[in-house]
Amino acid sequence: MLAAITHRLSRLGAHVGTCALFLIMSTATLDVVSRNFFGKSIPGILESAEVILVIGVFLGMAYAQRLKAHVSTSLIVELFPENFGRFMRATGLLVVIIYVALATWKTGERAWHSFLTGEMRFGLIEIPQWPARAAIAIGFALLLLELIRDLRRILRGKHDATDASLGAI
Amino acid sequence: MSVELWPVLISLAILFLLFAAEVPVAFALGIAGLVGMAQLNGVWGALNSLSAIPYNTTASYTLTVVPMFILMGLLVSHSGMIDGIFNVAQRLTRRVPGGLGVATVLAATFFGGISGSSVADAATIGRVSIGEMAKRGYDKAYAAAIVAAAGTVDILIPPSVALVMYGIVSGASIGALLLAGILPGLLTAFIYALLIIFTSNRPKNRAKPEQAVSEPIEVPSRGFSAREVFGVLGGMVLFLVVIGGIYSGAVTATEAGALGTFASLILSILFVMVWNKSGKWPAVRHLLVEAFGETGAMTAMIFALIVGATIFSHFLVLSGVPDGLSDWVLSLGLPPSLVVVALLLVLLPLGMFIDGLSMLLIMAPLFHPVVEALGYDGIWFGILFIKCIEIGLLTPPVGLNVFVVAGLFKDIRVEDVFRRITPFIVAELIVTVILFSFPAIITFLPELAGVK
Repeated sequence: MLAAITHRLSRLGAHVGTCALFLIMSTATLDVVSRNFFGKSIPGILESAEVILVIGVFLGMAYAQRLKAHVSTSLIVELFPENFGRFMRATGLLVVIIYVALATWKTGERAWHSFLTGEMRFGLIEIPQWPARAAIAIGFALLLLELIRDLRRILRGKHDATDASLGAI
Repeated sequence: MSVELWPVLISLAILFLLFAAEVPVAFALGIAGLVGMAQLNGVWGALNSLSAIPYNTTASYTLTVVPMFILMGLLVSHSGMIDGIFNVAQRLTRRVPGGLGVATVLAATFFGGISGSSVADAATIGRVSIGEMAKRGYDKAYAAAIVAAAGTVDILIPPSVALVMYGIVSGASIGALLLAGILPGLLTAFIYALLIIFTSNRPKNRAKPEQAVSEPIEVPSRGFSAREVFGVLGGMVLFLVVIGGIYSGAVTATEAGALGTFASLILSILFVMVWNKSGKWPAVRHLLVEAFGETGAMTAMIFALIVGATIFSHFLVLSGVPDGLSDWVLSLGLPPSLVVVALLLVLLPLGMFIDGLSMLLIMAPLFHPVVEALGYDGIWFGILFIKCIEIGLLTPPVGLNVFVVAGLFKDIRVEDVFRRITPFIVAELIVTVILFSFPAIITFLPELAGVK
């Protein structure tokens, strides 16, 4: 049940992230075309791209965890007997869960504050910051769900290694 | 300013324990940095940083170029547009000894001009070329080693995520870094080609008779097919859009990324519509889902690393490590060139155990100011730094490119590829020494274009 919901939410986040990428690409292209052919930039492109980037990145964070895109190394764990290795992985993951929970809490608080005070991103055009800040908190919350799923899998003796083919360099 | 030694040691210990427990590097860095800040600023101070850093580091227009450079390469790779490039390269090199190996290097270098990541490059080129090389009697692990090494050229030839990240963390001009990478990338490819020409006929690099693949060899036809021509011309257009834009100064590196991606979207959709046999729209849909999905995951991964590394760097700055390191190095009174060599030598063993991007995000902010304080060109050092990352992609035990290439075929063992990669690592070291000794190879293009 939890697993299915987590999966759906992660996928949804990733879809929104995809739309964000598409938006950034097309608006920046439009801006360059407009500047070179019509002699003037479209105001607000830069500011909105920043906000859209934040939304896209953080909503995709949980899906990246699902695909095991986050780089880690199994070099040392594999030196130990299997049971101790599982203990190490579970402990490490528990620490990560606490960290991401703290991040969810603090960034959520910050997003709420931003919403209440109507915080703006300054530029040629003022754009409210709270959607981006809220996306960060939601992204961390989705990531938290994925991590809890992973912890359950590790405790049951299952483990997924990092997917090297998603390396970015 | 003195260095707060104990908090630094405790945080480093936590960092290594978390690495050991297979915690993703991005989170390990964030946790170690947070614990460190809590020791210096108190728990609330640290938590406040945690609430601010994710937004402050990612809400940056410059950073939009990272997903763009990734997407551009993945669209081309998934469309299959570039698959014909190996055939073309093969025909151009057919009279050269070790022609197929050289063709692989040529194809990987060409794709390097479209793709931002060497892992994607190695996977894309390897898919086609390893099988072909095996058919012509290459030992498969040797063929895989050629692809893994050739893929590393990608991170020097723009577009390159690694160069962009170096520019972001060091403050060096991204446009200048991208232009500076071109000649060193071509030099690396040239040295690889020479190496292959001289070693491909050695007995250990040929398949043993019992392993020889008995599939029929397709003799390439004389002319080029329309899809191959489209692939080559399309690739050239994409390279020119990005590099021409930056070189001429008409657009910034960030805008060049968006333009290049837009162009690759159009070209790859066009290609799939004309040449994909599985129906027009399903193929286009498949292309978009795959390319955008992978880009999203990789982007999130990279940004998680950026956030984690920023938290850790904030802690290091608070504890006075960068200044302390800089003062200490300068106070030693060593010859400047020796200092640079020492810094690069630190990176080599580090690159064996930490992935390239993490190493870049942690070490570049520490090393870059030291090198500039010694009076050296930051762009020059940036390229040398990236060369060390390239070497780290090939060295055991965690050479990422070797793992990716070995993962493409079930019958290739990682250990066997590592065993055959040593000559390529030596070639890399030789190129690095050449670049170190002749900085003009690096600085020539950015100076010519006047990009600073």
